[in-house]
Amino acid sequence: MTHVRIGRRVPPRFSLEVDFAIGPGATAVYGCYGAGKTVLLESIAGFAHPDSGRILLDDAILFDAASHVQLPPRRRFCGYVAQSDSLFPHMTVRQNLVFAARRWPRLERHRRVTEMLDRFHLAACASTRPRGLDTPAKLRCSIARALVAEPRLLLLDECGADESLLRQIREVTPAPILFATADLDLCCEAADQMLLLEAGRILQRGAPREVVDRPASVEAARLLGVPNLFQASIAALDPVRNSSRLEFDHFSLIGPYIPGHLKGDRVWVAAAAESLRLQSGSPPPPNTVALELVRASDRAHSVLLEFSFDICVAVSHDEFARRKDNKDWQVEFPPEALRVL
Amino acid sequence: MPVDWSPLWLSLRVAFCATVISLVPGLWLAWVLARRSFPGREIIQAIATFPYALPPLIAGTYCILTLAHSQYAFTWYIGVLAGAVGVFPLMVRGSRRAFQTRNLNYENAARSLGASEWRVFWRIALPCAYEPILAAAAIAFARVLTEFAAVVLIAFALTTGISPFPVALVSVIVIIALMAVYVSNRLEHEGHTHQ
Repeated sequence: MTHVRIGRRVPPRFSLEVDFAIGPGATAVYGCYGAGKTVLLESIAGFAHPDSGRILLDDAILFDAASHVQLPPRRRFCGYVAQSDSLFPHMTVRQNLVFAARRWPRLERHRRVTEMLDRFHLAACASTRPRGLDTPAKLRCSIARALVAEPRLLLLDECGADESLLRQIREVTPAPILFATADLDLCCEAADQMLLLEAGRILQRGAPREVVDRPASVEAARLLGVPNLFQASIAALDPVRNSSRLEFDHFSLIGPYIPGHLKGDRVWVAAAAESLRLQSGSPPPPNTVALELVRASDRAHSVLLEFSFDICVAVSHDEFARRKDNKDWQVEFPPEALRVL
Repeated sequence: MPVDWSPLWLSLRVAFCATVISLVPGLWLAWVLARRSFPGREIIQAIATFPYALPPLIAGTYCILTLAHSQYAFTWYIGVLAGAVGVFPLMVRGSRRAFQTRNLNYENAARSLGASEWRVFWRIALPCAYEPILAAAAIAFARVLTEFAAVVLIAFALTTGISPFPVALVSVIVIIALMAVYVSNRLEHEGHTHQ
């Protein structure tokens, strides 16, 4: 079992309180700047000392505040790739890797280093010093160096590894990977599990798609950048039809039934921009609101339409091209798209 | 008139030996002060920095007083020792700053790769910081080489047998200077912390 339960105060105001298990595969720690991602990873690696809690790696105790166990970083077998460049500047790429492979006999060391240089396409620059490498090569070298030591847990601190590099790492090592990132797409593409970290606390954890589609709280939804997040009061509840009527400031909608709430309660409602639909024609379908288009902005795979009342809808480029001359815009809120937090 | 070059060779020899001797413990102490936090750190830092604030005349007087109560004559070995003590703070300050300003990521990366503290020091910290350390050593060498006041003072005391300053006066000055150095170090530390 690999489990992290630690508390750490960082003066003057920050404190980290986390409790989570690290499963096999890749676990993403998603949070914005100052969420505590680096503090968390440094605490696991042994560079920072937590005030309380326990860290277990494969059932071995790395840290236990109660029994004053604090293994030094060199005995934790945690590979660590820092946010900024950490290749030894006075050594070549090969020497950097040899430094990490010191515990093996000479021939074995040579074999492992050569294999890692080949795997990460570094053979051509093996005799180059880090300042002669471009940024992607530096990153590959840092990761290869961490992997050549055969870590039992690999910690990547916003080092810039993309999905293909993370996949490559998983082909090389069976060790679990904990990577900190502020890139939500990367979490969805490359992680098996995901932790939402804000101000030193875990807001939610689970499979990335599940977390992104179903934020458990307003804070989680805000952190995930859910654009449609509104307060509403419950005007009616109908458990037979499995529906509710929600009164917003400027319109009302039919939503799913909300167990555990009473009529008149105030709730937060979230809707992903991709789950809302544009409608046209008369009469409009139910749960449709007439809105004014404020702005349209191009994104990689879609166009984000921002309407009045801060409502956002994501549509494909084709659909936007078809509808861009619309004078009247109608947005449909399918009940299943409304998520009550 | 032929020039007697022997004092130059003597000065070079003394300066070189004093620099090398101060370098080894100076580097070690600088590393400890830069990377470790322990009780009494400020006091050790004040004592290590103290000779920096000590004027050569006072240092020379102390040398005379020490020699007067010992069986050793003033040989060049004593000069080396006095020089090493005199430039020790230069080495500590210069090297400590060099270690502190270097990227901690390198050392942490080495630790995570299984390197001991000894190996981190020799293979990573020292090669990464060697330029400012050599600069500090060069300044230390120049300082010992050009030190003249203490030499004149010692020569005067050895030839006349008269100590130029009363012992009590020197001691009071030294104690006040030590306290000032301690306060200076504390203020410097607080300044860094606030930044």
